[in-house]
Amino acid sequence: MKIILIGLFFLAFQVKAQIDYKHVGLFTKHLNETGFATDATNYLNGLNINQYNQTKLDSHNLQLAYAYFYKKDFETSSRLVSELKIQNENTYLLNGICLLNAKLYKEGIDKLVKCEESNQLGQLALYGSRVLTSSEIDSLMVVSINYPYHVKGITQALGMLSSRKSKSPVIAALMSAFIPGSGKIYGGKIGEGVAAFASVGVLASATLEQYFKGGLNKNPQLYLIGIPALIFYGGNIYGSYFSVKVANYEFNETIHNEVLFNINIPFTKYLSGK
Amino acid sequence: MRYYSILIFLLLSICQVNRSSANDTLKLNVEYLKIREQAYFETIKIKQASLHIKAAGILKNIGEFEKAALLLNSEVNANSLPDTIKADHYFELALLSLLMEQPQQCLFNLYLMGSERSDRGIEVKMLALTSLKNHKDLETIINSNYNGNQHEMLSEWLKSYQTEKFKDPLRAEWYSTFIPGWGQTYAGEFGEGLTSFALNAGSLVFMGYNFWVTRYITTFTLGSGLLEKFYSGGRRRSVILATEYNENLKKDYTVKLINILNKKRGE
Repeated sequence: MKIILIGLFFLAFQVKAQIDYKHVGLFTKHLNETGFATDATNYLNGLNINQYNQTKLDSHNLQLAYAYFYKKDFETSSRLVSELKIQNENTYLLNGICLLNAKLYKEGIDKLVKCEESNQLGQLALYGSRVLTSSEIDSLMVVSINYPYHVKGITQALGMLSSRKSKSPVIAALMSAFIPGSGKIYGGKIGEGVAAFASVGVLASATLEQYFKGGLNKNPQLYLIGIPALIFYGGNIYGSYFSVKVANYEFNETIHNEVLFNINIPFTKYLSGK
Repeated sequence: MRYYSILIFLLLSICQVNRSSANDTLKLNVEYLKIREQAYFETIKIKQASLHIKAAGILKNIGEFEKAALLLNSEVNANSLPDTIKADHYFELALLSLLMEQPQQCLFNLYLMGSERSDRGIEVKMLALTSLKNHKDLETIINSNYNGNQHEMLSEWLKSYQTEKFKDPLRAEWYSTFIPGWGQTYAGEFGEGLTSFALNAGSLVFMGYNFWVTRYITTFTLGSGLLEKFYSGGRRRSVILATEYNENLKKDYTVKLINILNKKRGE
């Protein structure tokens, strides 16, 4: 009888703890969805977790991972999910999305392939991670019927990626060495190229005028204008090299953001519906 | 920045709120989260709204004004609340608007609150009107709500505010158009004015000399380019300086007003 009573007491205690934790889950979900994700992480980190058993600790860490996901701290979120003892479709999905957001494509795809085939979100995320062939993409168009708008967005972004030829910073630098500003125009920055051509041109022509009319000796203006002209010329070569690098980076970043936008929205909807 | 921190400190003091020190921030954050949790599970709407207003008050003390405003706007439906709590809600929003330098929004919230009914509402309204340089409404408030010594002090303050000479940014720009550096000097920055004048004069000398020795390319490309940069830059700068001068003066008057109002409370 005593043993049964102790058992019942222990069970009641466990049930109470579960209910208490359900409250924590509801409150953090509310904070996440109303734009207070930082508060959600502070709240969860402030809880005393010393008394938690493994299952409850896992629930706690999963809540924390979701809060970090909403806070856009994808590395921490991914680390927390990886540390969970029980891994299922949802944890793989969250981890995969976090890794994709953190630009760790290969690791992200490793997690996402573990999602069930029927999980459209997993498929959509796979679709956006740029490792599929065009025939696979066509087959996924059929699968992702629930998210046609986002599939279209990703298709467009990937289309832009495949149609664009990557530009070489070295070619840009060489072009600018021959004709100032041409490297920047090659990199797609026409205005900057024209401005660079004009400024180097003005300085160079003024330097030449000083040289022809004033000579090399006793003509401080030659050096006053010539040295900045040389600096501008060198700077423009380096600037062209750098601006093509930046243009390539910016383009990749735009595609990355477009793909992530189209993955994150269905994922966030999925989370709110849970 | 200096004026801004003084203002924040004084504005919080006028609402009888003690700004928290860095050590208290953590404690206040914990308290805020506890109140928010309590509010989330509270089923009675009035109590829930009061708790949210309290939580926003704590955020205000920590200095998180935008977050506090977001909390009040997203969590509290003021239309379904009784007048007293509705007034608290709008007063808190008005104060936050003032702290975020949005005086028009502050006045709108005070209107929704019915600011005439409370002393604090009137004081905050005066601060918003000071920020908007609305002398007429300030005069009406001072005459209808204050008397005796306070009335005298406030009237004197208003008179000095009304007669204060603010700098006209357009005039500063025109001055710099005629004589480079004059606009900056007019806006109270003599050093900058002198530098601007020297740079413009130097560019002109450079142009003149090169023209004299028949180096026309240097004169009309490099020389004129430099002159254009210094000249137009100086004009733009004088507008910025005049605007900054006016803002600082306005903040000076706000600080003076807060000091008068605090003195009144001390008595």
